[in-house]
Amino acid sequence: MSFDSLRAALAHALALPHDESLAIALASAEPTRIGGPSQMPSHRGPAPEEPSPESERLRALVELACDGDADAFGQLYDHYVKGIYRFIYYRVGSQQLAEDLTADTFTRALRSIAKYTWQGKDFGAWLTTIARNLIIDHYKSSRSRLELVTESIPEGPTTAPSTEQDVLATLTNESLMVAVNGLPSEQRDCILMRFIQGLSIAETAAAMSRSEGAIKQLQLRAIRNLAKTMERDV
Amino acid sequence: MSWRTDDARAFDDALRGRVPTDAEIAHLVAQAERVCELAASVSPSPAFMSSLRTALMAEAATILTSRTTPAPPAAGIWARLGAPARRRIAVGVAALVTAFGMVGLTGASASALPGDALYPVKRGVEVAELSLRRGDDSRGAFELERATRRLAEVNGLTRRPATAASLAATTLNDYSAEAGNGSDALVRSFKASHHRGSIVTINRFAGRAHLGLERLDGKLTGAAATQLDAAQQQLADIVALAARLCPDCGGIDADLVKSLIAPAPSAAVPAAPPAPAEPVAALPPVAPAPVAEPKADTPAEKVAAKADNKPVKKKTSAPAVEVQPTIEAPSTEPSTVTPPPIPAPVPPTAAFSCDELGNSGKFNCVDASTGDPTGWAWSFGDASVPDSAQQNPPQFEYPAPGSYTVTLTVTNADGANTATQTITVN
Repeated sequence: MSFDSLRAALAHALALPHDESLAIALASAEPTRIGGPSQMPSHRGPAPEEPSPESERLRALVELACDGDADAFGQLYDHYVKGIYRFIYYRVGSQQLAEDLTADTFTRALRSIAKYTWQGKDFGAWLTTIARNLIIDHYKSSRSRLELVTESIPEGPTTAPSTEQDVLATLTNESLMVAVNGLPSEQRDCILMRFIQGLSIAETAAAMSRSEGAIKQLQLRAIRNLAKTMERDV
Repeated sequence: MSWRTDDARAFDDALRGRVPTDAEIAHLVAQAERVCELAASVSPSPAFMSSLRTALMAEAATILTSRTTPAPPAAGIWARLGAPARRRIAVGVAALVTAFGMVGLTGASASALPGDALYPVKRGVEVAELSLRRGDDSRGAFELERATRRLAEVNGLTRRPATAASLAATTLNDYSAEAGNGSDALVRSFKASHHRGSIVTINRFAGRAHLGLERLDGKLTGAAATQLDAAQQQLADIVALAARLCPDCGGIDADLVKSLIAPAPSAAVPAAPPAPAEPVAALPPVAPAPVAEPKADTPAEKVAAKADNKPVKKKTSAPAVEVQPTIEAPSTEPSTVTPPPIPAPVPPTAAFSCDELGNSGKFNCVDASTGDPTGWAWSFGDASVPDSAQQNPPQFEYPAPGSYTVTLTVTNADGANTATQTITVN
């Protein structure tokens, strides 16, 4: 009897409201995998997988915040705000709208932290899920998906590009945004979470309710497609 | 082109630093890193980030600090479930574990602590083992083993940073229930068979439990500390009963135990019946809340409740508010203790805030009441928006512009309170 089958059987048989979380949480109990160089998200590569002092600190902050520690919530905000903003920005294409939705995301998180039921290590995934739902709500109530196209020139970085390099960066940011949004939605979200926001495999798996293996396959597929598109545009 | 698992794993390994052997993988890693770099060049403005932070901290000061310790939700599924749900989980896991032939704690689950992912498995295995045992003697002994494990878990919890206080309190509650059930069963067995072994088992357990509880002294706060006091009192009663039933069954020094615990509350039960040697030592756990609801339970009722194997009252998001008075002192003990003062009952104070999601016309109302309410009644001033009994009702939408009155009434055992607000929809 392998641990994998026990985990799957437990997830099905228990059939609790949070059985997905339980299944994912049990999956996380597997032996730690080989780790690579520890890197900050979105600097050179996606987030590290192995438990690090950073992830332990974040877990402790989540526990404190759930217990009512406002300062802990502030520190969690500091850690996650840029990633959430980037995730939203590359979906909606507008700096103003991204700011609004970022504010909504953290406000909603603060107000419902009393009901936080995910594992401490999945806080980033939880925030991302809130952001995704807000984006969906926004599109439902706003004009249409054409909004992305009509506002297709993203405002990009706040300072106007002053050098040729900056201009190039703006253009490639544009083409990245268009390319990412041209992917099927699951691949798009995987790219957004893994490489734009900087979530780990485990967090992405939690946010998308898939297994870690499925996320690894998804990210490979997505990067392959993305590479094809972006190279075509160059 | 096939997307085999090997490719996916190789790609992910390469992302984490392992040098790729495949040229395509290397190329894709470069692509991925480029995406990361591009994304990193996009950032929210510092002005936006700091103003949002200020706004969040201001709101956090009202939302978060007003919550009282007894009801903190802990990260982790186990602690936030009520007792019936936890039993369901344990039974469900037990059924599977037995089916898969995994009876007996193995590996990671054996050392799991409350809040860990594998903790439900550990508890489920215990239920499975218990179901395999027949007879008061065997079951009683096993329940005491479980109780000992709970103490080890609480100890483990105290060594973790930032553990939610409620986890320790919950686990101590479980300890008391198991200690009570176990000693009840062994006492029954002894009375039926007069087999010394049953009482010896109780005494051996008491020795270990005494050490375990002692080790926790000073390490707990709030509800958990109150639960610890109750557990120590319970242990003293168990020891006293065991000594009475069988004076030479290896009992530990009952006076030693008593000397280490605080003066125990022994509020006299109204119409105290004469003290037969009923299993009175095995108390249901004493709830930590300050509100007292004196109940004239007779020992017969308590025994019946024990037989049902319902260790604790149903847990709600607020702590259990009943306090069972302790049993009349056995005749061998001088009664020199005074009952603790009972604090005045406190009805809740209603408060809430409602916010619109952007300009969508959709609203979220969030409870901010104080005073440990146990019931919420929301109404939103329009027939199309249904009333809600949840603490935080689901998002809703008004059908037309206008002014609407939102009302929240909160209740607990001591009273009720209402707050209202007007929402204007443009």
